[in-house]
Amino acid sequence: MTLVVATLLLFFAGPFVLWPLIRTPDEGEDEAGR
Amino acid sequence: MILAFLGSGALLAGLVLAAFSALLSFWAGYAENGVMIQVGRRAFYATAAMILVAGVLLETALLTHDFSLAYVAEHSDLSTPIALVAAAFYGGQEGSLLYWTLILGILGSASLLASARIGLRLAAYSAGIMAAILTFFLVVLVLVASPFDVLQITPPDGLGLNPVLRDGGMLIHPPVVLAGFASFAIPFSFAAAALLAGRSDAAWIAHTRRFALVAWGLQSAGLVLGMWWAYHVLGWGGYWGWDPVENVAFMPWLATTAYLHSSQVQERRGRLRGWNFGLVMLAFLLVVFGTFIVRSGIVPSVHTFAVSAIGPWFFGFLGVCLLFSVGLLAFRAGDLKSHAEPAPAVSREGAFTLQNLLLIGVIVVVFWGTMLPLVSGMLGQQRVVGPTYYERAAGPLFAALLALMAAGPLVPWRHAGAPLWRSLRWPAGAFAFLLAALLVAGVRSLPALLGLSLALAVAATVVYEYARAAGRWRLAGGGWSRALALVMRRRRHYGAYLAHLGLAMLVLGLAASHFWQQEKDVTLLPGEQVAVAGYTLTYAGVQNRELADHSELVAAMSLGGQSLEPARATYAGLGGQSLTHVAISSSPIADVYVVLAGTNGDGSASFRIFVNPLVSWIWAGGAIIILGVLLGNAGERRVGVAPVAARVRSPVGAS
Amino acid sequence: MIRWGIAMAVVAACVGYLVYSASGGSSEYYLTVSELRAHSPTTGDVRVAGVVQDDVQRSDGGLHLRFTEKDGTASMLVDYSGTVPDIFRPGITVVADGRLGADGVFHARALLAKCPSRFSTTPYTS
Repeated sequence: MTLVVATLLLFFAGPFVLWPLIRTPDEGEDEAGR
Repeated sequence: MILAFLGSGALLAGLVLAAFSALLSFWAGYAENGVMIQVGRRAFYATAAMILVAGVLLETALLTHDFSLAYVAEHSDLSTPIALVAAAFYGGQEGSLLYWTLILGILGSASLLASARIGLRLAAYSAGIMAAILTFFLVVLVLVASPFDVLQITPPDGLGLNPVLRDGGMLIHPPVVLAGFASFAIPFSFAAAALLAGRSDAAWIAHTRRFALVAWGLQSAGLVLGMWWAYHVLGWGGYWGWDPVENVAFMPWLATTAYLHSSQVQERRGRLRGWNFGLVMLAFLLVVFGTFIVRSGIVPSVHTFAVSAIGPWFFGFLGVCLLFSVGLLAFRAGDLKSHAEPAPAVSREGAFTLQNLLLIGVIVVVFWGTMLPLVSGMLGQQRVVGPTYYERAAGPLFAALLALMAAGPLVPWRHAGAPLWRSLRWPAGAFAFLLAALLVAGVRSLPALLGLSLALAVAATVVYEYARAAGRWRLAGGGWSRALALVMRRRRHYGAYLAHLGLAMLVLGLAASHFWQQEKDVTLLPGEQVAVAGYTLTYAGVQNRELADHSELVAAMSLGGQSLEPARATYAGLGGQSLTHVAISSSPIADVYVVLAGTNGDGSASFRIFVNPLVSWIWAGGAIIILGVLLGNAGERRVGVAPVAARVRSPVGAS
Repeated sequence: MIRWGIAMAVVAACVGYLVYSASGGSSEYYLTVSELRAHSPTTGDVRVAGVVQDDVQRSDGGLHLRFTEKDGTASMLVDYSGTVPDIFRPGITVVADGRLGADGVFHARALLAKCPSRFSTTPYTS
């Protein structure tokens, strides 16, 4: 149950955290995924 | 039940984000990859948000009396006043750890947001280190000491807060002192980042100093509030016992006090860099060390801590931090050497260097006293030291520091000449005046004579500096706007001197109440009087009062026109044991402090009465210190130095 | 630079002297009741830790206390006048600071009782 909640929260946090990658033109960097 | 799952989920998510932020920030800082640095930083903010969510959930669980959570059941019950239920958040092991982590997340985020000027790599490494510290705390919170553990069966009511803790002081002191402890991690992170990156500049100094000041301010407030709470609640007439818990709060404060002064030398002349890095890191190491020894129960203390599971974790963390800090300092030892000429011994720089040595000396004294039980216990028969040791060993060092505080602000940065000796007349005169007055009054105790006279000298120097400023202001034409402009231009300067004045007041209060406390035990029948140190108290009688969660035996006494009501409170769950509610009549001159010890069969009541001179000066002095810190530093400060050219700017601006 | 080295050495020596002389004079042994019974030191005050037993006697309106402190098998009668910590009652651990009199009674000049456990991670039991 805890894991489910944690995973959900991480999905919500994802876009916020990765925003600079999404916004900036890709420079050949890997998307440092979760 | 739901709250527990949401809470532990939030903590787990926070842990993942913190670890991610740490790893990414270090890598991206090393590679100077602006975009990834931003991602790492955002992960840090997201971690802070997760911890905040967890915090809100825990507080909600407490306020809604959700006893399915073990933590809520252990630290509150239905009859506890709601304010104390809310305060239970930080009242227990797991909750106080969560609170600490929360402060770290919030202050850390604030420090990152404010770090726009200090250079990308520095900011990235700082974020990485702070994230690493957060990761440790979150690991402990998730794996070892979770506030969200659920009970098999939900009890109908909780255990409640221990009656001794049911006091207003519980609301203020712990959150402030815990926040203080947590905040020392910020300057540590920035210092370590600068050592890692191999660079530091004026903007970095200002930034690190600012957050060291935040930590120092919080810890000062926490220490004074702790003393105030002990004085008002515990009923032994005192406020400081040199207990390990008190000592570990004191030591980081000492190290940071040294740093705040010594960093000025680095700002001005680029010297004492090694000292400054060392002091900032020492403060944090002392915090981790302190947390370890008080939460592991390995040193006897009046604040009992069961030998808990988190002890070994903090021991390990302490080891890691120690290795990391020493390693970094050794690695960069060469770069820390300054190329500037050392100033002459009698100079502001000399004074600050001496101050560093003396404060380290005090830390050594306190550290040794705290650790003696552990060391002696390992080598043979366990021994402890009491207040006498601290007074004898640290007393002379404190006296030297006071003398330095009185003279230091008047000593110029460079060559000290005739003007110095002229201005030193003022503190010297104040010293001599009070010394003579005390001697005439019959005081023969050397610590009292020196402590009080030196504290007055410190105050005299501050007044002199303010008077000189006022003189300059009047010469320049006077007027409110000019006064404001003059103060604002040297705000940090005047705020610091105000803090000095507050400290002088505090020392005067400490010395007077310590050396000249009077005490009397007396048993009185209704109508009888007793005189203590010139104060006459009349006892009228006792009565019983019933309150929501306890009953009180209240003694009615009068002091002049004032009424005092010392009481004993009996709580149902304590098996007949009663607690002291002290009655205090405060005035700027002295406190009359009355404890009701109990009643006797013949209708008489027994009291213990203290007269504590100048105690209120301690609290007033503490408030002035905080005022000085706030006035001197609130708001944005412009860093006067142009940014270093070789800084990598992120393409879309730092976030 | 040498100047500062000397200053540091001087301060270090002073601190060392202060610590040494102050702790020599004012440190006390910290014992359990059994240890005190086994070999009682004759000079100076000691601190003795033990658990308060059920026979607490208060007199003088609460200003005077007499109780038995016990640890394991050894027990000791303690006589104390002064502020009694609020948490004091049978069953708690208390540290008495004082010395063992010729009458076999421990005359305490200070009593330290541990504050309620705020940081215990023992699981909830009723």
